[in-house]
Amino acid sequence: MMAVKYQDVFSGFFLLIVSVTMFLATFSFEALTESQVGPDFMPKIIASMMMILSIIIIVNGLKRGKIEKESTGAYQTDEEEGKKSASQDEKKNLLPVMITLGLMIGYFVLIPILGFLIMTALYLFLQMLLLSHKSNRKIWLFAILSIATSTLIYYVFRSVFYVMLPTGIIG
Amino acid sequence: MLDMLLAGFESVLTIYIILLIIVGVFLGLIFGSIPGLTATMAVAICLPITYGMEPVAGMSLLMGLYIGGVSGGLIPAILLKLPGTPSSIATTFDGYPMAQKGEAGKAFSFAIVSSFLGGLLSIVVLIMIAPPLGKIALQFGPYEFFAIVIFSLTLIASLSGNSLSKGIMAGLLGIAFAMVGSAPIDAFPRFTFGFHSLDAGFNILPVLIGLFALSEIFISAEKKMKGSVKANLKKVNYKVSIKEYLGQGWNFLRSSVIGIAIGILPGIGGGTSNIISYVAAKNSSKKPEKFGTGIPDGVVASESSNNAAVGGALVPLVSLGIPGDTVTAMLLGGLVLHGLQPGPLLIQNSGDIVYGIFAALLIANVFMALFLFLGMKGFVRLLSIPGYILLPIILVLCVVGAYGVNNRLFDVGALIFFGVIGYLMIKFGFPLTPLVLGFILGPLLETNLRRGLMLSQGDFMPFLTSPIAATFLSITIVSLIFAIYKNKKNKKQESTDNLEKTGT
Repeated sequence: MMAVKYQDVFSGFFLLIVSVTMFLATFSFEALTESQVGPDFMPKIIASMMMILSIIIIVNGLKRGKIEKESTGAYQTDEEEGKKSASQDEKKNLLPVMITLGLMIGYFVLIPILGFLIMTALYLFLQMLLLSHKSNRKIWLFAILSIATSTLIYYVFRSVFYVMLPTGIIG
Repeated sequence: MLDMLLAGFESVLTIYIILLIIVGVFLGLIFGSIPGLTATMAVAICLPITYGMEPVAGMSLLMGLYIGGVSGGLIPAILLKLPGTPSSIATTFDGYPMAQKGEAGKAFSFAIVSSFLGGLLSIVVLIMIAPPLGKIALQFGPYEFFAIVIFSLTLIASLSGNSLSKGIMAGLLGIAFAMVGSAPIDAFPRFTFGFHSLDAGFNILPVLIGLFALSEIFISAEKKMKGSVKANLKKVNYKVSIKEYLGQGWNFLRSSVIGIAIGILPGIGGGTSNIISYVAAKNSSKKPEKFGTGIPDGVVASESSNNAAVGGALVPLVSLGIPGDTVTAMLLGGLVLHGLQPGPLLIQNSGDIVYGIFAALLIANVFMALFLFLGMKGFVRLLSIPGYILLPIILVLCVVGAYGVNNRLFDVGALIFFGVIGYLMIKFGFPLTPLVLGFILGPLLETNLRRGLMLSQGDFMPFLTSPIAATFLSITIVSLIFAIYKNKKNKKQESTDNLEKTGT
């Protein structure tokens, strides 16, 4: 609930930290040529502008959060209910997103070891399972499609576009 | 100019390139027609494929994708009330009611013909004004370029998304990401955090693909996808009399001009122009109450303007090297990949390629209309391929594309990183377009600033005293003030809306 309402405050703080870090990092830059402004000039300007804007975003977010807080106290209508279920959905839906990210990272890390062919088929299969609804999960169709697509992409890119995808243990 | 265009046609009229254009238009139409897949995604995935090609061949393929991608959206918009791309949102307003009345074929005819003519008109405008504009821009020095880049970035930041501060923040983030790697002019490695793979900075391809394609996969992971959408298309009757077409003449012309003008402005493209044209058509119509009930006027307005935005968006890209929307940002990436230097020098140094691009656009436009008329049934059938099968395959293609940039897995890591950033930005309400343009224009901004300061020996005044630079900077300030004012007004509206809700 809190995360939804104050998400601007949250993102603003995060960006503030990023911009401060960025600003501090510029002090290690050295000018390699004789010029009026060195390589640290633009980053400093951009970082300062980001700091100012993140503070604006935080302030606006706080204001909005306040307004919503006041108004949610006043009315208990359908909208409020809708918001509640929406935030519940949010929680539930974060899991498949995290799993998707996990799948992608696993795919990325394991390609050099197991090779493109095996990992792609595996990734495709698992991702299709994850994205599809229970009622239309056709395991065999997914398996065949995954293997066929992986093979097709591997050979087309190898022989037509000369992209040498990692072979891994097969090679 | 005509002989240049003829030479352009000559370089494009080979079986190989025509075939590439056909493939491009076809793929573009597929991507455009399947909701959730966009023209941007189509170009992103195909960019790596164009590596090994000659510049004209590669760009021809991309132009086909662009035209096809913008046009394909009309199919699900009319049949399913689902805009395939943001460019055809307004097509659903009248197209779907027409299909409901059993006039799907008629709606298609109007949509396809206006797409074709709108595209054609805008390409002609592009061919007429881009080269002279480029010639004027040739006289620009670092001061003028600095001002133009500032102008474009501010315009983009203020026009995309609902919040001005978030838009500008996104643009700044883009500039910041572009700073990773060697600094311009003196090549000092910045923000690499000791990773030598970052010495050359982030490659544009993983950044673009990650932000626009990967983020979409995360978004769709949130909602379990149900089975496919079912579209029924039994018999279509495309018949529309010449008189009915002619009756749309003014409407078509107005909508196309709106489309071209909006396309030229940086930051907004087909996604906005179709709605503005629809509203304009409604306001100037004698029968505004009929809009929304299924009249061809609405379809014509929307579909002619979104295709007209294509030619418009290419004007600043070709003449100044400044992209007007996300697809043109991607096309700019394509030019860079082929070793071409985007900017006013492009037409002078690589005129043959630019005119080849123009010719490819004209040819792609014809194939687009042909495919839509002849292959409608096939595209409708493709609509039923479910997203849970398509999206994983698209991710794999993204990975292959990112890997192919330098044949290293590091870029795949960058791809996933930017995918996560894109997802988070969408979730937290930050627009993506300013980030991309900041990323592309950031280095240009810094190079011109530092070059200008070298020229003036550290004096900032020439940035303000050069008449062209001063004009652009003052327009920037005016547009910024206007945006802040509009933002305030919107917010007030919002809070009064809230109060009203509380009252009831």
